Amino acid sequence: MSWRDALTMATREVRRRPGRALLTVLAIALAAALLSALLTIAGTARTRVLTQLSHGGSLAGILVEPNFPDPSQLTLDDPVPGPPNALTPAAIARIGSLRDVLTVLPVVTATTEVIPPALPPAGSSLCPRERAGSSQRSCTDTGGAHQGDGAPSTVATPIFSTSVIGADLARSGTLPLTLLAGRLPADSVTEVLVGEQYLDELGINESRASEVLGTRIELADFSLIGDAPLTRYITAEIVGVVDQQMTSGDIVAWPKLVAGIVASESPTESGPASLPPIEGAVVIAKQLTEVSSVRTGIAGIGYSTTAPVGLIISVSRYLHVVELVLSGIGIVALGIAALGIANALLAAVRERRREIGVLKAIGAKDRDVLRMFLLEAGTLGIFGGVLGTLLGIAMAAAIGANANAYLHTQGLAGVALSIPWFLPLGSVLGSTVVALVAGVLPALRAAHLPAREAVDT
Amino acid sequence: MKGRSPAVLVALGVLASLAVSGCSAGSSGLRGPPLQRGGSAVTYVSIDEGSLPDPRFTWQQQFYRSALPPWAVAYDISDEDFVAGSSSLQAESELIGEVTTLRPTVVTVSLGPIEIADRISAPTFAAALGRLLAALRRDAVPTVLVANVIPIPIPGRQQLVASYNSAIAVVTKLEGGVLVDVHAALLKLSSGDPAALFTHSSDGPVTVFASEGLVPRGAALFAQAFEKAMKHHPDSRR
Repeated sequence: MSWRDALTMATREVRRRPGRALLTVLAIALAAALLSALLTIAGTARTRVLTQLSHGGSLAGILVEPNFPDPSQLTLDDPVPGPPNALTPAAIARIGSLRDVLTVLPVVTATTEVIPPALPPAGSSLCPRERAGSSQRSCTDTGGAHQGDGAPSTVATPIFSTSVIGADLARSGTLPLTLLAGRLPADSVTEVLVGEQYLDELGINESRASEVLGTRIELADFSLIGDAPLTRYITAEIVGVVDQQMTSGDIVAWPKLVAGIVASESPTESGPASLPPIEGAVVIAKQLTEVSSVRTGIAGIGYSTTAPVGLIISVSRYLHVVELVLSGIGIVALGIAALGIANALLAAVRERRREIGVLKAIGAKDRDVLRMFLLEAGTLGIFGGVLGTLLGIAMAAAIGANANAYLHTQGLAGVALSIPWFLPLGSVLGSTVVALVAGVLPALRAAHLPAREAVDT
Repeated sequence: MKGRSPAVLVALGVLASLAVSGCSAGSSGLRGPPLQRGGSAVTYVSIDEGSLPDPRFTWQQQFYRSALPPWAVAYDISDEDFVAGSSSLQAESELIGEVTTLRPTVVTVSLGPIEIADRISAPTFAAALGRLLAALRRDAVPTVLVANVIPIPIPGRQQLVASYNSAIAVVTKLEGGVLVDVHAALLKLSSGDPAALFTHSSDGPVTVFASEGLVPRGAALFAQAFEKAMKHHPDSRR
């Protein structure tokens, strides 16, 4: 019996029992789909997280602080004892010249009073309830902070103190900064980002972050002029809400705006010429594995550092475990599918004993029968694999779309689906191999069936 | 000075002002480089009778936010405990040096009610105001907006208010400032009855914005009056 004859007979058998063949193909397809989808999702997560962590991404950043007595430095995991050592532009350049340093971003800060709009957004926890027992809150019908003669109708938003952090926002991708809503400031002297503390002060939670976008705040700096108290105000529009880990502070802006808060001269559209002292720096190592040596180099220059290396390694390990678990689930599914194929083929062998006996009686050899059953299993595996791979990619795309919709509601950037070229190929080949392996036992049983015994049944 | 007409009082005040400042009268004295669109620094200082604890409800801040470009800087040289410029005389002696140090490009001046309550004569006030505006002119402040006195319903002071407003109009014009008619704006807000704007105490009317319901409306009205005057300033190039 030639290969062609064996293939013809195998496909004919598949067509003769379409219900069983379909169920078998579906079992393989579902298993292959599950494995493909899980591997696609795990691969995407790995690409997005691990690549960013280990190749100069924001979490591979090292925070550097000037070396001087400062209670906030207790949070550093590598404080360098010694004399005061301010971070100067020369020091920044020196750090930048260290081996394995990808980039150095200086960070400037200024302490300021933040003056939000007088009225909080509607629905804020600061707003009074519309009526007793109602969960609805309203700040819309107040006519300002007060109405009526001397009777405050609501509590005005509080004026609070915080630090304004200035950094090169054109390099935001390498800063430990996540945009939760809105956009990054385009204008260097009139636009800012706010953090979660600002939302807390306004009595709203993170899911309503977009409500503060487009509002204007004033930033006030207090000093003396002669013997008189002097308050300096600048205004800025909130264009985004962020979570940042650069240093303590709740307003993030371009350095020129920070300079404008404390500058003796007035800022212009292009900003003042001089910048405030550097309060810290974010150093990005070229690779995750080089973070430690870069930190040693910075400590050698005389500055304290902190870096989330332990966190990165832990995240990496957890992701690997997640990948193993997801792969395990897919393999278990494929195993179940293999058992299904074996069961279906064993049933086919039982049903076709007489046919096998006739084939052997007219001269078919054991290997011909073996080849026929293996080809039948392989055909089911190929069809199941192709169908399952397509289904798996569709499942991953649907899960990705749902995940992106959730991320967008949270003000985060979406995730692009990452399908490696070898995944569809491997999935089809793997399904075929599993089907062939599952078909070996029934095929051997059929092949070794004595012709007389087979015909007599 | 009892028995003299307001016009005579104003004339005396103006003459005294010019004599002290040592400068000749001219309508362009305070008009230096105008505000420019793009690239220019805009610094705003107010000389007035103090501010509220929360700056968001002051007319100065409303004017700053609505009338000036977003990159403008505002300075406040007083707080709730320290009111350096509570009268024009105080402003002249204690504030003017600090104000000019800040190199402002826009200055708003709103003074008078405290002097009126203290029965200071219009010529004395006019002379002090003239010295103040002359100092700003010497410092080449491009835009100086001077408010007249709001309608104060203290019995027997209406004449003094009228005298002050005449003096302010003349001195402002002579020193090249821009007059802001808050008097008319407040009369409009009160529908012709200024007493409706005041909370009365045993010491007399306290302030035009003592009634909390009038704080935002009154502040907005003040700010709008200043903004309107600045827009109509012939040399303003905003």
